[in-house]
Amino acid sequence: MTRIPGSWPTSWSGPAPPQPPDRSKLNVALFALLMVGVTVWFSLHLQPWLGEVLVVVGPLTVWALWKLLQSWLNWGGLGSRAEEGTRKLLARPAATESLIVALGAMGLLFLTTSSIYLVYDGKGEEVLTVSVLDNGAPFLDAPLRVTSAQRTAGRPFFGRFSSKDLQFVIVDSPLYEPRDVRFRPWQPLRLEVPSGFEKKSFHLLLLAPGIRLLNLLPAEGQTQAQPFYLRIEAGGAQPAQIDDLKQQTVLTGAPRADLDRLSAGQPDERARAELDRYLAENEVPPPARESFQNAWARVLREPTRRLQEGDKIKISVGCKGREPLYEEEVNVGSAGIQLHVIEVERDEC
Amino acid sequence: MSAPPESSFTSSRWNGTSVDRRAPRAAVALAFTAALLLAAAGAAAQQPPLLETAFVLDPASVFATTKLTPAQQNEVRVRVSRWLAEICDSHFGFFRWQPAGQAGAAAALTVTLRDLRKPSGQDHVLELSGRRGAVAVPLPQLGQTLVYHWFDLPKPTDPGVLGDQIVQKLGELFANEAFRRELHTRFFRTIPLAQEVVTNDPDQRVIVPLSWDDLQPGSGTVLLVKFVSAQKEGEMQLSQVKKRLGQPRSGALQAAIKLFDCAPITLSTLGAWNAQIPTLLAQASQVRVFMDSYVQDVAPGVDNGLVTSPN
Repeated sequence: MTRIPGSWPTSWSGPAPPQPPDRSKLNVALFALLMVGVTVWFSLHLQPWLGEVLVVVGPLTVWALWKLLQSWLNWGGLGSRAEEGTRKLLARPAATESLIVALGAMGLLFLTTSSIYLVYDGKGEEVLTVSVLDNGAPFLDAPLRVTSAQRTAGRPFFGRFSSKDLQFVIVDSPLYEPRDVRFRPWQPLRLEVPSGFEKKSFHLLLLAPGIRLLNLLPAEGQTQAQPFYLRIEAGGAQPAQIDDLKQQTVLTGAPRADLDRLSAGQPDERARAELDRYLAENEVPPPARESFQNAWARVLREPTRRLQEGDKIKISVGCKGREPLYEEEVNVGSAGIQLHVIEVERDEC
Repeated sequence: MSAPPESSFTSSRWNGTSVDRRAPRAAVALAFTAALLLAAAGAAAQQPPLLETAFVLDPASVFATTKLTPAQQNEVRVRVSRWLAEICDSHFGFFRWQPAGQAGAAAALTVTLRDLRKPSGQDHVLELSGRRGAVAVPLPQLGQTLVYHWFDLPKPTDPGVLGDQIVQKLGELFANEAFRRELHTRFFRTIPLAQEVVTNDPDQRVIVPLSWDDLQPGSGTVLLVKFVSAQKEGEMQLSQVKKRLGQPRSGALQAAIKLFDCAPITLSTLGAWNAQIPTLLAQASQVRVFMDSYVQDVAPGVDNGLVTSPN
């Protein structure tokens, strides 16, 4: 072994090496931004999905993630003191690039993550099921169901890149209008059920045969030589026709289910009062009025499309194969039940 | 006083021919009497005229246009016509009655159901009208009978129900004596029952060759006879109508003169008689006997305690 005489210097006496820039503050800021972003993303898209329990701990998520990161840094062998290790890690130049990449990934996640959540805000114990339709076809595997017990329903969507026009329909209650929503790829969509849906308004027509026509019509359960028809043309829809009109009123202006529900309760007192006035104006003696009211109290529901204010409905009455005895265009008025008395001029078809 | 010879009966018949009054009176009387004897001996009492009853649904009526089929309308027609014939027979039995549809009726009583248009509907009323031979006889004086008000609901579509309602309304109408009197005065009193009378000079009675059994008139019944004799219009009222028991014309109506007016003879006392009456009536043409006032015999065969019809 050869020994070199002399002694080696023990310290560098040349110029000092350049110090890397201290990016710890920047990195801390980027890191904080990343944490906030992750938290927001999580709370927007995942938190409702994971359940209401997380709502309680939601505010603690940022703190939890922070602690998690600290423990990971410690596990990396950077010292037992977490604060010092973290500071050193964030002070490293490479951390900036990593954080920027992470922030970019987070931005991409923001742009491609969307979610649909329904939040029940009704009263009572009702169950509301909402279908989400995309051009009439189901958008979800199954309708979303919210109740007073399970107040939130929905899920996140990842990797969507285009918007969709969705329709939300409360399928088990005919009281509400469907709601159309443009669902964007980054959108956290929250709908309150049912307050987020507009209540339906109905414009129903109650068609009551006048005194002269009632005299021409057979009573309920009777048939006569010459039956009468009633035709309702609601424009744009298939005309509705009753081929054997009896001594009754006809309620129309909505689909079958709506008509059934709307007319299931008490009879319309306003219409009854109006018909009472009509009888009085025509000098029908009071003892005879009951038979008219009884005839009008029998309501036949004839479904049509849902009428809107301003619609023009053509009503015609007559005998088969003959000129109509009555033809008139009725303007649909404001919401509610609109009484229309069918007054014929002739006594025969 | 001997019993009056049967040959003293004279008859007057409107046969559309005139008698040759230039022939010697005795010869004519002899021949005429002989002929009458032969005719009278074999002549049975005649039946009263046949009248028909009809029910018509006005073609413009709601029941005809809308409610009932033609078959159902016919059902109502038949039902009401039959009922009408029965009720007329019970109240106006001095005619024979039959529902419309058979031939041979001298006159007809028709009930029509029609609509009366009102501002808000139509009333349904019954109207009566008549026909005498081929001549229509409107009877507006009898008014209209309301069947359904315009505000009555529902109107029947069952012919049985409609028929019952009409029959009920007509029943109420015919139960009203004032209505029956008016109907008689306006219509039935204008239909001749017979076109022949025979005088019974010895008894000072007039015989109307109608079967008493068919008419069953009470003694209060009054017959009106109109005739033309010697170019003069004459008329007489006959009362105390009874069944003739003796021959000839047994079973016919026999009545006393209550009023007689044919110039120059005027009588106004019940049972009055004038010797010229048989001649006047024998020469008469256009004899028509009308039912002026009809009282049905309440107990046929018994008249004020006297048995008038032993059989």
